[in-house]
Amino acid sequence: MESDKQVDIKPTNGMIEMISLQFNKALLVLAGLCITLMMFLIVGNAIVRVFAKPFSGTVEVVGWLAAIAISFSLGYTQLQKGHVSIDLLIQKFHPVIQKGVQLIIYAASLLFFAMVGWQMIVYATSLMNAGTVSSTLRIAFYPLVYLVAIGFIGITFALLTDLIKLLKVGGE
Amino acid sequence: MEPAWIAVIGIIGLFVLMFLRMPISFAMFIIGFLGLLIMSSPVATFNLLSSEIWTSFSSYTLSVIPMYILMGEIVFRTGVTVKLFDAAYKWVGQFKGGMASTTILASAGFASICGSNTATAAAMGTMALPELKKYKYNEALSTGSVATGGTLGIIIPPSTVLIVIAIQTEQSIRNLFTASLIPAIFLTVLLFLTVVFLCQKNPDYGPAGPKFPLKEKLVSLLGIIPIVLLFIFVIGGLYLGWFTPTESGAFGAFGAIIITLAMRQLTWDKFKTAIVSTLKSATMVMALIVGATIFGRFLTITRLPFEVAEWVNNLPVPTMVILICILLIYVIGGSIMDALGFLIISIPIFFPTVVALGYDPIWFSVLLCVVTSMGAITPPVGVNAFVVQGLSPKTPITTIFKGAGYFLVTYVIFIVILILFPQIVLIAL
Repeated sequence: MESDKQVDIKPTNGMIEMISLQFNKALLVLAGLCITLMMFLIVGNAIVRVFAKPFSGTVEVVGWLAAIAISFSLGYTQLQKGHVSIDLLIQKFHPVIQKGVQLIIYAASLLFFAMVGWQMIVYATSLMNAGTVSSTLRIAFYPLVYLVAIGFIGITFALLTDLIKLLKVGGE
Repeated sequence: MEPAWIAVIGIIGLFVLMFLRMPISFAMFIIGFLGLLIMSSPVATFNLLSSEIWTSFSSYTLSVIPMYILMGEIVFRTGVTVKLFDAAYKWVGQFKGGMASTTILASAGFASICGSNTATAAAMGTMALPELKKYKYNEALSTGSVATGGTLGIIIPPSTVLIVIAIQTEQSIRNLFTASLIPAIFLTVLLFLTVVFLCQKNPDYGPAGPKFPLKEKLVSLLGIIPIVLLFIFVIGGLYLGWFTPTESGAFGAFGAIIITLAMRQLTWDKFKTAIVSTLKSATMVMALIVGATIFGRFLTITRLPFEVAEWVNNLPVPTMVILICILLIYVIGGSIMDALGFLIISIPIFFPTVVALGYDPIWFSVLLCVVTSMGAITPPVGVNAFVVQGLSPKTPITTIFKGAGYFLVTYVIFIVILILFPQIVLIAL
């Protein structure tokens, strides 16, 4: 029975980790494209400005690309433990307490970012319903807010992976 | 309960979460959110949270951060830094402690195109540490000079820390970059002189290297011309008003790509690594900024920053004493937690106070930048010391901090000079 359980649990956990990693890596590729595009757009616009009328929507489009680049990198940054934290005090605790605290931290962060993702969806929907358009290009930008929400789903996934990993370490 | 007390409880909660190893940005997000929830309605809090995140993430002004980081990353990943080190060594390597002085100068050179202290320490450490070991330099001096050289990354413009201060305090990035240039050169000279002084006093700390003929020295300068031109174009263009800070960063990244391609140093793999690393650093910084914005909104609603400013202003002590106390808080804060993180948390509390005391905001911003960079080599959590240990795992962290300690004295002297002579900062404006 116990071995059945292990067979059951391990592939499922592994799958969640794999999906999370692949999902966040895919988002990272798109984030990389956005940041490269951002650089070319800013440089191109500044050069064109010398000779002709520049593209009036540069500021808006650059901001949108930055929003996608940053939100799409949130999950990968978490998977790489790239968000700065302080180890100083926690290291002095007993390993069991350390693990318990870490579990709570992951769970709280996971719940928070899941809620932020959900709120971004609510916000995007409200922009869509209100017919809000951008101030320069006069186009609806709510789809981009939905994309930012996907970025928060990415970090929620990454935190779920961290949580599962932590639980698995205890089980081994 | 009084709003100010809710703020105090929030600040305590923030520190508890941070010391339990919750990422600093997450802790600011969560405490800021909970505080807003208590101080206003859930609907208003949710609206503020989502709109603030969207506004900050899609801000054109904030997009300057990934652009400057990308410029430094491209140059770092392609090994152009070797040429900086080579040139500095040929000019000063012949003197006692020359290799350590070389590290300081080359770090300053790299800092002129990189806005991060850890990246500067990592870039220079990779090259300098094996060389310093080869010439039998004192281990503390070697590792200390690499860690300290790295701190120039955030004092010499472009600087991520100055950008963050400018954004948080609604000042001009251009003005802060301009103001920091002379102090940055001054500090580089002081750090250089520290090495000379140490090696004059203890000749075995850093033996002199070989002397190179003038022709070879001049030829070595050719290698650093592209980096000098990039710096002049990017920062010069910003000073002259040719472009905005974001454009300056984008031109820097673009220029770095062109230069490293022309030098046949940039490969597809290196480019990808630079992009991934840029995204990681930029996301970390952006999460800190947006987290601090949410936390700052909570503090503002409680009016704590204004009440602190008013209380401090009415204290029956000279303003200089208050200023020194605030700086000491930054030194302590920067030494027990990530310096940038502490800076971001504390600016909403202390900046209004210092301005209310009548001090110049630009001068104080540069001073904060210097104190923050000092935090990167102050035990127990000086991040640069740990970067150096990562590169030289056999060196005990205490040895690195001992080496950095020599330069901490210089740093303190420099800070005192900046306080006594604010003109050093303000003269360039």
